[in-house]
Amino acid sequence: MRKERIFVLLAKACGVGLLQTSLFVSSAQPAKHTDLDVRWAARTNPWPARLWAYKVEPNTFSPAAISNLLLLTGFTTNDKADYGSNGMLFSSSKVPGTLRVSFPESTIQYYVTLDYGPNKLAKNLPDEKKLMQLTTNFLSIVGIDIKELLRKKETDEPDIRFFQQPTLYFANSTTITNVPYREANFTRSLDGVRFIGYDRGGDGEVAFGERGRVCKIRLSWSKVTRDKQFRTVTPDWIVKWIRGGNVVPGRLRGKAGPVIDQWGEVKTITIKEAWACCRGEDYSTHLKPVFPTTLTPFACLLAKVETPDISTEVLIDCPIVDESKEAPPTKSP
Amino acid sequence: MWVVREPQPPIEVQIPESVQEQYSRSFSSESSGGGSDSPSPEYAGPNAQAAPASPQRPPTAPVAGATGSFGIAYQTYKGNGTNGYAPARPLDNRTGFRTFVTLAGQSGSVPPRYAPLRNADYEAINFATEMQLAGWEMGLLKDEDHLSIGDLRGTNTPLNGVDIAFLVLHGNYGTSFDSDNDPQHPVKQMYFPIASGGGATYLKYSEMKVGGDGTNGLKWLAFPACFSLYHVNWSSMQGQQVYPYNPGLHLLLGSDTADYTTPKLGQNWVKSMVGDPTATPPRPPVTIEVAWYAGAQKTYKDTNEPFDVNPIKLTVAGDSACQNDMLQMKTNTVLSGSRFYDTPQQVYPP
Repeated sequence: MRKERIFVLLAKACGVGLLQTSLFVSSAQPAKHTDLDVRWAARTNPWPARLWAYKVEPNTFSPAAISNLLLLTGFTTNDKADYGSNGMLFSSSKVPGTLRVSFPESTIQYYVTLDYGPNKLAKNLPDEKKLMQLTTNFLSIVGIDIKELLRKKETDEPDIRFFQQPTLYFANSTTITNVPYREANFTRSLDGVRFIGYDRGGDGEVAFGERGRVCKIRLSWSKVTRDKQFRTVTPDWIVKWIRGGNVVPGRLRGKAGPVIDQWGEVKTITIKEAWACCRGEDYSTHLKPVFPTTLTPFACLLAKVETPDISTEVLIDCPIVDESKEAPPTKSP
Repeated sequence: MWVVREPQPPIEVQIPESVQEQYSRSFSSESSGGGSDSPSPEYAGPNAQAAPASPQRPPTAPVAGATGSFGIAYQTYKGNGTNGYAPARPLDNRTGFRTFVTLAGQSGSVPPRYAPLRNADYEAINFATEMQLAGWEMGLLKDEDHLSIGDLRGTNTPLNGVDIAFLVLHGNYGTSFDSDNDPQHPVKQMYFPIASGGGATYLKYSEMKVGGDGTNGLKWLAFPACFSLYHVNWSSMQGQQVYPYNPGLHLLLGSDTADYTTPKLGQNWVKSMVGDPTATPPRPPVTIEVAWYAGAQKTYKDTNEPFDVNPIKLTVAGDSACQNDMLQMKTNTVLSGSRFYDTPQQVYPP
């Protein structure tokens, strides 16, 4: 009976799009490995007892956000090519760059080519303090609450990471360094669950050049609302899945050696780390999602596996919520 | 130094008849004995001491949406099954002694071993497929043993006959000096094992001369081999004016660190370079340089894998006037003669 429920769960998990990243066994008769030595060395409570599944819809970005973007980039409404419910594109012969806002993709993209060289270097770039200020201001004007960002484990501050990429020019036996811009990167977190992926509805970067002028925006931020809350599975349950062959190892992480994608030769598995994460749809493919879509968290396990010949590490993705056990919501959405 | 990533089903690539003909010619010449293609550690390489010349090519007006030809070349190093290859270390020929270059990853006298690059083919083929979707024509395909060490040496490399090329190989860097080019000016440089049958020989970076003159010569080379633009050795080569490129090369896009073969690296690079005119709203293209980083970030960020190499850093080097080259404009920039090198950009972890 319980086994059947597991298969239902796996089938449901596959149905909501987790298969694109994970390696759940879809076979009706997975190979069992009852003698497999599975050890859980990660935290025993790596995720909360309940997690949400979310409903994902296009982000139409508010008129205020669009208006603020025009102020930032120098475009006017006269520069707009309107694509209705799909978004808008701003370009002009008088203003450098292009501003693209896509509602279905929930993205804002702005990009300017910078014309620097050994004889023309950037000046007056924002320092880190100013960069933080510019970034939080940017998030505010596009309607993102800073509380939605992933937070640093150590300090619980928003995890905004700053980068700069100097270019070295070699001319007349001298080396000249130019820093064209400074950039801030950030990632989304949903009720403490890290959002992973690139342009999948939960990450972004914004770059500021001379005098703090924005020179690049890549924002992917879909409209996400809580849908249903579920009880999460325990480590014991995952261990049973592994032994039952319902969950298989992912790609080889080592530098060399055979790919391990089944438990066949494996004698011992040690789960070293476990965490919950979620990943949105990839809109860069030609397979466009039909809204609303569902976003369900899943578990990532980093495991050491040992065969008679080798010892290496693998990644295991597996379901984390038991969709057969919908829990009453603890908070109103 | 490379790691195998997820296998993907084969993708059909339409190969033009002209390329098939070229390919079969190449095959038959190699089958008949190899000739000058046979690995030769005695080969001293072309004279690489001359500094890049000043601009030779008159500017032409860029044409929006213009296309050209591209090439792919790769090896998966599968000739010895899962054993890979452990070629003899490169000889440093000009010292007067029989001395060998010391390589990173080398333990004592045991030469480094290179495992099969299981996704090198997918990485290159997916790049080709995406370029074809963008309207570009395949002008070169050199895979496995059809890519000989002779194909990569000197100015006559077939890579120089296409506008843009994607070259996937193993790579490594020297930790001792190599005086092949000039005993008075030894450099630390990079080395790339080239397999041929069951054996392999190192190609020295200083032997390469990529970059083609003329409107249809090689302008942009993506070379995502490990350490293909390792900053320490790149700086050493630049300091001694030992260049793996001709003055005509616009950009060389590579890796400062070890990195991983992933089926989508080249594909995502092309997607960023060409944008998507069919999307609503249309997605504008970005520069070749910016696309190199953006494509790699997407590739690695989407995998959610804890990679052994941490961080992975890519970089770009080239002519200072070409940093804003766009693929779709088929830019024929007037070269400045001065060179740039991007401080390596971290593409993993995100």
